[in-house]
Amino acid sequence: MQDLKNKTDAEIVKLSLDNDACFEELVERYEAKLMRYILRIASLGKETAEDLLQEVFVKVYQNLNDFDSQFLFSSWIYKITHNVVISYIRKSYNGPKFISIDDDEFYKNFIDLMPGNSDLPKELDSKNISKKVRAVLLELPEGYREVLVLYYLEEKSYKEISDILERPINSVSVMINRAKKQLKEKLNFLNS
Amino acid sequence: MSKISEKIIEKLKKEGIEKIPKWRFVFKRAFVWVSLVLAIVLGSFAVSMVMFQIINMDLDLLPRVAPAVGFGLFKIVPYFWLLIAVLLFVFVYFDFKNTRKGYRYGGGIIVGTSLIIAFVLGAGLYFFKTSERADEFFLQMPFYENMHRGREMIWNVPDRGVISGVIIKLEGDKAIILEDVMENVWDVNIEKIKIGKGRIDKNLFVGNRIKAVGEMISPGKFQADEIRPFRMPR
Repeated sequence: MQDLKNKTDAEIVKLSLDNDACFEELVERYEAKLMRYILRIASLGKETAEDLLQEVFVKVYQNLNDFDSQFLFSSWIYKITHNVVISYIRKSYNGPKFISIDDDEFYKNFIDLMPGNSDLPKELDSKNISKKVRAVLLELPEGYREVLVLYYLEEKSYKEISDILERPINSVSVMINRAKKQLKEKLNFLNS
Repeated sequence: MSKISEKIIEKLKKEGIEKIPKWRFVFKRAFVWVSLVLAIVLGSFAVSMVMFQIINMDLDLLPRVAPAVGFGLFKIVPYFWLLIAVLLFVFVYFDFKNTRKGYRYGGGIIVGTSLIIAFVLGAGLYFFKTSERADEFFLQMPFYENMHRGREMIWNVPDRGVISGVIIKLEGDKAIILEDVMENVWDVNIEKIKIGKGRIDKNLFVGNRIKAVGEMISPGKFQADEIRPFRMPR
């Protein structure tokens, strides 16, 4: 199993097709990343997020034969995660809405990472920043919140986001710009 | 192994979850592509039928019949084939989006490319007379024949100098007996006909569907200046 550490995701997928033990390596590589992603894009409790994460890995395991090495494995697994989360959100439309991440750094990083944030009010540098960003993120449409998370926090390229969300690259770029604009407007409004 | 990893691996083993075999994915993808190609071919065929029906209209006669038929003029639009073409290309759009990389292309590119393919293939089918033969074949079916009859009505306006129907008898080279779509019988004098665009002689045979352009002398009597096949030859 130690050898697996040096192998690429695609190589491990190939090995996993014949040997289930190799699949554990994929789970270990992605569980933390995907857990964070689920919590960032959806307003969920940690337990629900864990259940969804399990569902994601079950789907990944079942569909291993469908993985196409022309795509990045990370894009493929994020796409499955996106679909599982969206499907859950649609089913439990009336469920409670809250963002479970208590990590203030998460929200501060969000603003720091956004280029051209100089036009944001200076007061945002205050202690309240995380509360404000959290509130504003909650107000953003689901799709906008997700592209911002993928681009600024998961550090995915436009092409990867296009593969994850299954949208044309142009549309991803438009969504990111609109999401940024809305986020800034809402932050400005909240601060005024 | 972390706690979550353990749970996941345990769940896979405990519930006996298995990998979906590769052939099922291959089959699914092949099905998407085969249905896509089929829809493009059928859609292009529908476009060729639209072309055939539009090109074969005697557009120069429209000003003559229009005042008499009014909104009936809309009957000449080949709605049936247009609807089939639109439905098939809507299917093509969604089916293409279902291919592995289909999402990478915007709606404009998919619709634009589909239209180009439809017109090129459709024109090909029209050029090789596939649409003409298909139209003749479909005319044997009652529902299609009824639809066609509805369209034919607009070319039967005796007081505007146009009648259309089937030749039931030839009376030398002086007259023909024609039964129009309303099942009225006409004695059509053809002594003065122009040999219009070289197509007259070929069309004077019993059973042929024609248009006579000229003047109504009296009910049942018509003086033709021109005889046209119901459909323009190419």
